[in-house]
Amino acid sequence: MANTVNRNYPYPEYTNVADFPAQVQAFATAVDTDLANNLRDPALLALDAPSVRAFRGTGTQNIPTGVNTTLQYDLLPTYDNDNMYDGTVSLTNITVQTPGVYLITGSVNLAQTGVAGGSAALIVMSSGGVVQNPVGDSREIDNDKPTSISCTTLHNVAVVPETITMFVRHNHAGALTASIAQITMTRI
Amino acid sequence: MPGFTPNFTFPYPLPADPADVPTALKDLAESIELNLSQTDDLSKPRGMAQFLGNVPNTLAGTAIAGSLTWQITNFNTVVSQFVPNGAFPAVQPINDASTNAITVNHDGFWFVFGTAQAQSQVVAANIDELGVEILRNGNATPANSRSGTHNTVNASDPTIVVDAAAGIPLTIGETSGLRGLVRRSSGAASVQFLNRSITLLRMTTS
Repeated sequence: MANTVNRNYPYPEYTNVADFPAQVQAFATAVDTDLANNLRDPALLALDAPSVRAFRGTGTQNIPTGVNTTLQYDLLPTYDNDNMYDGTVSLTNITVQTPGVYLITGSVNLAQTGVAGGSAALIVMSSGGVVQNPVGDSREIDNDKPTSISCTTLHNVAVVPETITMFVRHNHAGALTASIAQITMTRI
Repeated sequence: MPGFTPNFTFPYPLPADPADVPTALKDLAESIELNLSQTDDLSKPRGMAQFLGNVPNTLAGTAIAGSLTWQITNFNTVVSQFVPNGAFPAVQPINDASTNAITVNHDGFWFVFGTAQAQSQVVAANIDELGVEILRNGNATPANSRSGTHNTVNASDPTIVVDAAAGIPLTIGETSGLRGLVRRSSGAASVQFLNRSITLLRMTTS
């Protein structure tokens, strides 16, 4: 038996003993396995990208001045199909389990203090350091209105597990209070 | 009776079958062709859609929030007909310029990104914040994602641009949208949200 060049499908050569049922079965099985493993299964797998969303909807978090304060989320994630968030282990960490390029977005709301001044930044971090450009966003602080910051980026996770967190840093005169915070990651 | 392969049930003759090479090859070829076409269809792009809004949306008086409307379909992919609820566009097409809720046609975890331009303000307008937030079924509670700027006065630029994004689980028939936010320290100055977009990517099937 010989095989095709690209997909390695078997076919009989002139010198082979004629055994049509076995030779057709070998060919049909090879095509069947190839289509299943290399076309159908990856296509189906791609429909379900590893994705997670962790969210803090209740409670608040103190954010001192001049300190990188890692944001915390609720015990249970809003969504997680790849075991990336376990609130019983860490309320701050997204642990990526599958390599790839991820779309990351996060946001945080900071309550007003009655006094204006200073700026606050939301930064995405990885266990390998600050996520590369763009890393986050910043806003000036108003006296009587909350400050809402969001940022979105793409990040390549080459080696797993890799931990992703977000932190807030500000230089307001006095601590700020973070209320709602969320982070979403999905592999593209 | 022929045998069949395990994944796609391609037929092949068994030794006990009558020797009919043309028919056996025809049956096999037709089965491969059919299944290959169906499998190839799975490789269509994931469900995704983007809509643009260009009709100014005004938040007048003391209104602090208003859902933004969409007029232009930039893209709305039709997913594979061989997945559940397939052969339908990612989201329901929009036919009304006042549409402010985008209805998804498929269950899944959707990544939603929205951005909007707003007018720059004069100091006397007393606008403290311009922002946007992602809506789920018309609601921002519990919050999905919100972003705004306090730097609303900029004489040299015609617009302020704000954006927000979030991943939200949606089932068939549920909606997402984008809401403009205005926070005033006093007064009732109107604010117009101008060009804007909302993009929805279906990242999972459930």
